Amino acid sequence: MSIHKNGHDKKISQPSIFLKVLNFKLEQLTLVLMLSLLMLVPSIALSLSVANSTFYTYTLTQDNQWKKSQDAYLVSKVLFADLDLYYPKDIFYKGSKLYIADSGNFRVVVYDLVSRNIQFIGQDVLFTPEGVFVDDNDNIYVADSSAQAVYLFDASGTLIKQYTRPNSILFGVNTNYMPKKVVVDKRGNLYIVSEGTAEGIIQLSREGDFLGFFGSNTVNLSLLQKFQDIFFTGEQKSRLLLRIPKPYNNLAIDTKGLIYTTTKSVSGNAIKKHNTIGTNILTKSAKGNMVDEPNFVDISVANDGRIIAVTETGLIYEYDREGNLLFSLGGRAISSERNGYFTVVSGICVDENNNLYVLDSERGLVHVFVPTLYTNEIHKALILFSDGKYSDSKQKWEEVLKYDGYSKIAHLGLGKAYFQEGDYEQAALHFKIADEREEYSDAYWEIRNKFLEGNATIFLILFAIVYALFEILPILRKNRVKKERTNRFKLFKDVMYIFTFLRHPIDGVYYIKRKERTTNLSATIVYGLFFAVAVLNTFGQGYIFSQGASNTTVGYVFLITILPAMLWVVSNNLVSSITDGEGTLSQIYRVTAYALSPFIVIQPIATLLTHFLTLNEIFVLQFLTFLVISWCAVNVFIVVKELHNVSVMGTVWNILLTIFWIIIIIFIASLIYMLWSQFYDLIYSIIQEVIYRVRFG
Amino acid sequence: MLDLANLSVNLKANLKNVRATSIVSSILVIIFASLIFLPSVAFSQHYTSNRFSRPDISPNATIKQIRDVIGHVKILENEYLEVWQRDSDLSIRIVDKKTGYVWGTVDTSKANEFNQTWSGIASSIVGIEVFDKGGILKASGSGAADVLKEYKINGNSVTYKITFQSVGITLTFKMSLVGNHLTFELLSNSIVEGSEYSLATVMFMPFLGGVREKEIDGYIFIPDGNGALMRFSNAAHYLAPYERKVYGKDGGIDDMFEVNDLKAKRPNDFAVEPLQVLISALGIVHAENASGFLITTKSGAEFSSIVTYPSGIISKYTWGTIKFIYRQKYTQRTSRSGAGIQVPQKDKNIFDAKVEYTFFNGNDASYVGFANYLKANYTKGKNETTVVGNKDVPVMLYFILSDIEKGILSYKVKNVTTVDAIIDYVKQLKSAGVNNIILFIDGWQKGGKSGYKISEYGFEDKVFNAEQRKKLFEFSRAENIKLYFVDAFKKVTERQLNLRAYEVGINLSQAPILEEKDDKTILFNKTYYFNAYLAIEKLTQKIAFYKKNSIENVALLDFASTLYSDNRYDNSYPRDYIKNQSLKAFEKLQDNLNFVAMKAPHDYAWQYADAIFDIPVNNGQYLFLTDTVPFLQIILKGSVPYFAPPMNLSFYSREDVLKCIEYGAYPSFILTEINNFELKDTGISDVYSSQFYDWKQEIIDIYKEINSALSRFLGQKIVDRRTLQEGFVVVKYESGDYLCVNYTEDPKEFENNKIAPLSWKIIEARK
Repeated sequence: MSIHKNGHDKKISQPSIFLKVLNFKLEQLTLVLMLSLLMLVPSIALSLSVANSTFYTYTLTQDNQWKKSQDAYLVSKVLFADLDLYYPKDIFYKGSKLYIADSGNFRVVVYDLVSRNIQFIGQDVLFTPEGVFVDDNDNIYVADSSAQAVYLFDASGTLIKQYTRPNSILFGVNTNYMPKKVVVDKRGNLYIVSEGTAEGIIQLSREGDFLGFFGSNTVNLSLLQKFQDIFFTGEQKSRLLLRIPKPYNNLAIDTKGLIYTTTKSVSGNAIKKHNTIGTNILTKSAKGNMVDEPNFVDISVANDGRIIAVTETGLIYEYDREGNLLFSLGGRAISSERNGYFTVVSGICVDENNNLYVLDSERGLVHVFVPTLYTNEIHKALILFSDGKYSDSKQKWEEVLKYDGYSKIAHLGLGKAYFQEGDYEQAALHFKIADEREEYSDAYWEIRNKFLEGNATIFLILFAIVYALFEILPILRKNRVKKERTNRFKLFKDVMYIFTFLRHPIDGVYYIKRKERTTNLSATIVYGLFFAVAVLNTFGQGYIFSQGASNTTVGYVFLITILPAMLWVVSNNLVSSITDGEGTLSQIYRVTAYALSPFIVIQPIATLLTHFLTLNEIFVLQFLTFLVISWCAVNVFIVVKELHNVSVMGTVWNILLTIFWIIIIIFIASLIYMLWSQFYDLIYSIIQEVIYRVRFG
Repeated sequence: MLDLANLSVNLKANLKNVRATSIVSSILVIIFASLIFLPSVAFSQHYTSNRFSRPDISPNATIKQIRDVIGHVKILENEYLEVWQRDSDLSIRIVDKKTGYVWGTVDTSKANEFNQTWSGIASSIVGIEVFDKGGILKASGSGAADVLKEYKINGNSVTYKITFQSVGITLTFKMSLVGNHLTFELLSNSIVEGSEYSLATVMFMPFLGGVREKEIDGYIFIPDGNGALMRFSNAAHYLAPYERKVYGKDGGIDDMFEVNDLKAKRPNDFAVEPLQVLISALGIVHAENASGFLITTKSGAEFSSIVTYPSGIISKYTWGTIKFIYRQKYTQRTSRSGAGIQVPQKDKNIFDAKVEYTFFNGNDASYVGFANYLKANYTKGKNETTVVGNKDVPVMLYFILSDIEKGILSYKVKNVTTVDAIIDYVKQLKSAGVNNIILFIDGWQKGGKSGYKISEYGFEDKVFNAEQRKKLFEFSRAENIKLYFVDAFKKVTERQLNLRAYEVGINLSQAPILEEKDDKTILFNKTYYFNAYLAIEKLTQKIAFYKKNSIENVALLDFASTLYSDNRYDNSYPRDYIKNQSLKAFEKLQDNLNFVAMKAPHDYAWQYADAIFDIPVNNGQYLFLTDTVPFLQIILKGSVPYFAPPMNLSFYSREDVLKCIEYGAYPSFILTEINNFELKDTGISDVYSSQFYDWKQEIIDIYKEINSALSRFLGQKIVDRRTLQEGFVVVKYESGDYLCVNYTEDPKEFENNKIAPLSWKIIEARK
């Protein structure tokens, strides 16, 4: 017995690299959490010096990551500092005039941008004008929520008509009618966003008859709510407020008469473009993966169909006609009032020269944003493409790329142009850089098609050879002399046991239990293989199917594969010792490893296939995934049943308990971590206080 | 026959008609076309913004006085000025003897829009702010009733002893009249404080030259960015006045961050780094009366701030002055997350405060006159031709050789531009007619641009080993191209300093000085400030390294544009000490190296700068700033060559090129060999477009244009600048030649010369 210096057995354990990475990630998490308390403003030597603007312009790069880009708009003037607007709520541009719903002053202000004349409308009539719209005849529609009416004035300010609450029974007795925003189509039909009217947009005819509710939001139930639904009665459900669809908070109309809406507190489909029956036809938004913000307050549509939205905090988002983000710019005035910084934004509009007018309701100012050279080039490229001039648009996009090599929208535009021309290789290249998997999938389909067509004969020959081999090899094998089993390659054979286990799981468990096949080492190797296949699956998938592989790390994969497996093993052992299961820890360890053999054997095939399939064939992968998961699940069931020698019900019980224990273990671990971190924080603060007192009295 | 004749007559008539109609229709087309191209909205032009200047105010034939000397007694006089004073509130009047114009603080006995506190300040010779025991700020002025005022006149100076009885503070300062200057001097040991209140700030004659709404036309000149004007206007509702510390924030005490949550999924990092105040000066011009004065700080600039109130905040007066800060509030951290409490400084800043008021009249009473006056202080004996070394203007190509990149497991250095590529690019540009190239090399240090350790001196062998260095030096010597090596010492990433070895600067709450960007997509979102004193040491020590390795010219990225103190509790270095030590370091650089370039330096460094790059071309664009004026450029032109901000980063439009020409700024580009896409995991991922081939043609075109405009003005100073109309500027040089720049889309005329839209023209002096 050797005596160690410290009097105890000093084992130096090297945490594996993965644990270190894990640690690092957890550390990062806490740092991020703590720092999210402080949102910080930059000013760094390594930061960008931008000569003309007070705010950065952002665009999207691969993986929908944000990055800074050339200035898209610059503020030219800030208007109305001397006009004393009081909480203006809406702004509208028509024919070189700006119409502002000057809510706090009970009027609409009409400002002529050319002559600089100011006209006031509706001073005797309006109460809280919150929305304004001007039609092609310069008639002014004003939505007044407190007066519960939409007023129609002519260009000189005379009141022509009042649209009050519709009398129709279909409108509903309890439905709110507090018009906040209004747009009018070319036929004179009014579309009204009303406060608290969750049924949708109120549609009135030019005479004021109720035409119906237009396009209501859908309600998405969370998992918890769906669970609750099992127990609630119909009556109870109807009373739950959370089941009401989110109301629209603003709307716009384009030159073709289509309605665009914004909704607050949703993600991925805050902006919608509605067809005549109200369905959302903006593809990205309908799929819920549009890049947006949860606090848009206004939306405007440019003459060429581009969508421009603004958040309450002063961020301007510009999209192309399909909902792809072009820019995000602007900023918030915290302690300094500067060009482009807003306190509370309430409206935005765009004129025929693509200048943006953004209304700050808190300050009563309008900042005028003028597009830069860069933006004008992008707009031209978009128009060329939509006009069908693909090769011209290609040229323009190349020019745009010169200014900003990353730009996602430029690569997307190039990809589309090449696709239309039939150059699928180039299209695929650009779609990949633009990170548009669906488009890439389409281009890849075309490439693959061409390849298969071109090389059909070779494939047939290859296929014939492979088939022949499959037939001949078993025959050859039979003729070989059976060698004697040696123990030299036992480890190898134990690892290969996964194939046998695949076919005979019940026998497999039996042999493992009897210690005739597999050792702990071989099981560890199998776990290693499991991890390796999982890593391969995460990082090695073909481009079309790999989602966000650059965001995950090896540590994360470890977290979702090996960690749960080990937790399972430990919990199962706990459970089985309580419920008199027959399996020992070592056996459970080994058996669980081999239960994962379908994953180890089949998943690599799926991973390989992802390099050759397109999104059209996604069902193949989904099937394989389903197969693997269900096979593994069945294996787990079998393994538990056979190992612990319990009945079917007993197995179910065993599994449920194991899951329960896993949750308990995770809960306790996180509790300890949080408490520890709080404790550490407390000690640190006390020490800081003490030091401060000592030093400064 | 007849028919034929008829036909021919008809035909002729028809032809005539056709001719007529074609003439008419072509005229109509021209009218239509011009209507289409006429801007439909007046605000859609960039030149209408406050990044450009508004038309000059022409002075009146007769002076419109807004102050008088009634009730005042003359106390000082010389051949230029008379100084009058009223004993009851120490209200001051200064009379410009040449024109008879009366300057003065506000007569609050007549003006009743001030509350008690502010009426005591508005009329007074000195205004102070104090902290009470609870840290609450209180203001007072010598005009207040409870203030004891004693003064003694000796010859051309007056010594004042002002006792603010309610707060127990006594100030003894001296006012002197020398030539056309009036100076105020407050020595640090002549401040007596009581026990209850502690002195926070002091300002002299705060409301001197203040104007009520639009009483008269004029402006306050503020050195924000490259120069800003705040024209007198009607009262408006602004949230806050202009108050900014000179030389930027002091990291040793100021909060380097601001809470600004955009409540968005996008990064919150929306604000561009605010431009600093590079010189402690302020000017007030009563343009209608062709009179003005300039305040400059002779001592205590490091502790001063520029204060300007537009009309509508506190009162209807627009006023401005220089404020000296003795104590300020800072955040004492109490928890690890950085939250804390705001407490006033315990110990006063120790410095002598001295300001000088210089009075101007006639043509000199303008921001141009102020700039011309200041030239003597900063550009003695300097001429840019020594640095430019060529008859053509220079273009600065800023190449980044390498930077650090985050790999899966660790950081490694990425090769961004090779020496061979630089040589190739320079050759291509030279053969295309770009004759005068200056190369700035960054990322040459061992570890890359964002990864090299400040304490270690070495070259990055991946891109800049001995052989490549030799190649570059030989090439530069052969082609006579100056090489400037870029170096940073103050603002560093976490990889560049050793946090445990006390290399990081410590602020007053004993926390490391650090700025953080709320953007997780960039690699280094934390910037640490190196210990201010150590940074100076490192720079001086590195001189030997430069000399040993044949580095003749150095470009300082942050050394001359960042000034902060270090406040470790047992060893602190105040801001003025750091400034003085920096000056010594600059002298050493000048003695040992050939040329030193500096990025947007503070005014104390201008004497030591051989070239300035990234010079501000705008101001901070606050809503109440009405004009941008090239104040810095007028001071420096001809003496120190200055380069515009990198043009490939949002500064390449037509207006931007014209601005370079108007300001006399030379072009600069930040360039790399590889595509920016490949830089996304490096420390320079923010640079969105820099690949050489993307910008090659732009470099050539922009250089040729700027060269044809500015080459004849090399070495010449700017003597005058007039904004004749909105978007039309004329700059006059020493030789008498004019450079006209037209930013508008209409042709303009100057002295019978037409200047086309969006273009420039040189009009030679009439012989």
